[in-house]
Amino acid sequence: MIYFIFFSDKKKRFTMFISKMGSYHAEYGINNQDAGFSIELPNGCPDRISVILDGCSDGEKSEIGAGMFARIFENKLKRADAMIFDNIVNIASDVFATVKNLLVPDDDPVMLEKYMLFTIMILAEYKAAWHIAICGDGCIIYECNKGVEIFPVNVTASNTPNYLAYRYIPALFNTNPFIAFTKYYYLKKYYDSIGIGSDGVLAIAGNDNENIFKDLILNRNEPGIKRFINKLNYENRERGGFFKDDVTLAI
Amino acid sequence: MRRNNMSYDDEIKIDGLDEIDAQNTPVDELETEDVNLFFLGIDESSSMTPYQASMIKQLDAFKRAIVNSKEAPKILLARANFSDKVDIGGYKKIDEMDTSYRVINMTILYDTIIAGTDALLRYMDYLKQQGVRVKAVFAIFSDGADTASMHTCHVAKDYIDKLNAKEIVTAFVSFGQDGMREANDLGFKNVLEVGRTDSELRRAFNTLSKSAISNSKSVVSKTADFFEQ
Repeated sequence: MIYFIFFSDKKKRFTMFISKMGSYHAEYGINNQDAGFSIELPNGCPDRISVILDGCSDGEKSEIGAGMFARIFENKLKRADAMIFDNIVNIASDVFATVKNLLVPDDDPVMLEKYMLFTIMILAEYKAAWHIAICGDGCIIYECNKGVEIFPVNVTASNTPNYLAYRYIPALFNTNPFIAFTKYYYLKKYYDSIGIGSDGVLAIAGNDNENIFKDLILNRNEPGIKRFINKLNYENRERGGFFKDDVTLAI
Repeated sequence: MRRNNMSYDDEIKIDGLDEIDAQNTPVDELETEDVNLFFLGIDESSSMTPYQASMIKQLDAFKRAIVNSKEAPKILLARANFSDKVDIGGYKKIDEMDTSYRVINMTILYDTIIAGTDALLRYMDYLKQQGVRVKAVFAIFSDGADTASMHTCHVAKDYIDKLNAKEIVTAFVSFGQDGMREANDLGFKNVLEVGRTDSELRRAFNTLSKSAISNSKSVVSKTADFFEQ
């Protein structure tokens, strides 16, 4: 087999990982139900993996399942050898099953709904391209010479994400035992950077402040982004805040 | 109202209140979304003369303790010197703290409290509007009673009450016994009395720096148990 390796001459930017509780969650005493991590892999293949889990607010304790998944998945990736992206996605499916067996060993649908309803987003940076796999919904952040753009992904017609948990909950609508990850692939020669975000980020879409938010992302201004979210929530406090859902992004 | 033939328009100079962002640390220079404001009012009255050298040493030690802590990026300090006049600096990063010390004459404690409270609340509101999460400590170091303020103790107490109601930590370090009655009359929730010796002065600022760091780490302000000993 012949491998072609392409090296990008673009300047490597540091990766930013931010997770902020939504104003609705803060008001009603609900935990931040997003989880995730962003790590460089010692073997360099891929260079970096970022993962975001977005717990469903209908899943009363989805942050527990999401948090356990993040921790176990991160540990497995750190100990793994060089991987192609499909292997990473397979590990994610295995980790989900592991977490499910730990939290809901009897497959009780009520408990599965309570603990295991969360979106899984995986972003892997290789030498020549970024690969993304999503099971659920969220957004992809593109950075190119035109600036930063944010696009929603996997929003279904019924506005109910296709959670991996639906493989195991036969009684629910939208059940699909063949639910799988949707994959995306972006060549580095066309993009300066690619990121992922939970759907809470999409609250900024179409707002007058959207360009300010995009500039902050472009400049990797982590405290600036956090202050921006706080500021909009404070200015809209009479309406219960602006970013009502949890906001998590990795780019 | 005039006391001792002095004009209060000349005596009370308050820096950095008209242009909040210009005189304090600009929001864009903050390294975190959380900030802990620390107001430190320092008595420079003539009764502190025997301890001038020691004060310089202890202010430097106080600064170094906080600079070397993990909380340093989150702490902004405004130093206010009070003697014959009030001189309040802007809220700056802790490594910019001026550790010089000089002794003058009187003790304008009440006016310092009033001016310092106004400055603190104004900057806090401004930071919150910029999306910064803010906690604050209002601390006074003094060795005695007020001698020359334009305002009365009753008015100053109202300002301390306002700070307490907003869950801002109010802390008074009394260097010797004379300051204790002032601290209690003014309604400071946290009062630390130390003896009038160099070693006690060291204990005072050591406690103050540890308490500032501990309060910064805490999710909720230690409004009633600030002093960490």
